Amino acid sequence: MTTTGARPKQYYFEDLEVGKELPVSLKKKPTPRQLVQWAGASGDFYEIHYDLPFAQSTALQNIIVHGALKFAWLGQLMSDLAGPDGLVKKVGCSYRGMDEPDNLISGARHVPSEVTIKGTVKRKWKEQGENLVECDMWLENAKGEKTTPGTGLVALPARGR
Amino acid sequence: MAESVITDEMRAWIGRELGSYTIEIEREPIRRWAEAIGDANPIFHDQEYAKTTRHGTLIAPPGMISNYGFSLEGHGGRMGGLRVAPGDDGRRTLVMPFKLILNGGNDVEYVRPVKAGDVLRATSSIVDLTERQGRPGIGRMIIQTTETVFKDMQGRVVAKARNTLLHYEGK
Repeated sequence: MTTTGARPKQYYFEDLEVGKELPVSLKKKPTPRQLVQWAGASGDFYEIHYDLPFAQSTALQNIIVHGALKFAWLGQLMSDLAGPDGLVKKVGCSYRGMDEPDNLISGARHVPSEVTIKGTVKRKWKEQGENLVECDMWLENAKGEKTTPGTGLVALPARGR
Repeated sequence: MAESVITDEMRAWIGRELGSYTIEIEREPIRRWAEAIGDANPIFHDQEYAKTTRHGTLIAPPGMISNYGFSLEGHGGRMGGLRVAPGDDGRRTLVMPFKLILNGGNDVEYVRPVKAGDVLRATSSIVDLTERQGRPGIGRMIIQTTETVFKDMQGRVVAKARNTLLHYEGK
């Protein structure tokens, strides 16, 4: 992740190799506080994301991380890869498994919830003057389970141009 | 085989527009959105930095637009029967028989980045409704696929989003 004041790194088309891990990755530790913050920013106030008794009255055992927040992190991975002079062309994912926040709500079981967002280079090609890189990417939980697989597509600048 | 939970009235929505709404993409909501996901990339808050990039101005994080890809009235299980995205141009609603939902997936294709100051017109359509039997606790499900097309004020497509929403019985 970049910090305020530092120019984000630029990756170039030539630097990425098919089958290799992406040079960017993210680690997140979602908390109930963050889910509330996200609810406010996004407008998604569905109670399964912050109201434990409500969540438990549905098919869930705990509050869960918003799918669209996980999508947002995959989007962050792609904008980090695109850098200042690249473009994010596509981001997509499926929510195959639930992710629970680091749950400090009284009475809920505590689950270690650090999640990792990363990916690999699936394909590279040039098309209509753009240098395209397709990525497999995913969010995995602390047990290494890929709860949210997805794909992304970025256009990157080439070196020396 | 149990009787279908998708009525003819619901099925008639497949391929139809649900409605349209206008979204003003403003700087401060972009900054707050990036902050909420823990993304400190200056392209989302530092206009001077943004001028040095290919974009020339602040842009919205890629995920931000997916929030508008599914719009629900009565969102939240406490509110009873769920009504799906009427938009601001009519009161047509698709009423679902189940009040609980889970998000199944999001896909967004960007023709260009969404920029601060953009005014976009989003139009959502129901692409598909299918049903499936879930595990105990989930019960019967209706899987709703929605496509939302975002156009600028000149009518040029900026992005296309797809969302899969699972409406479930909870039995």
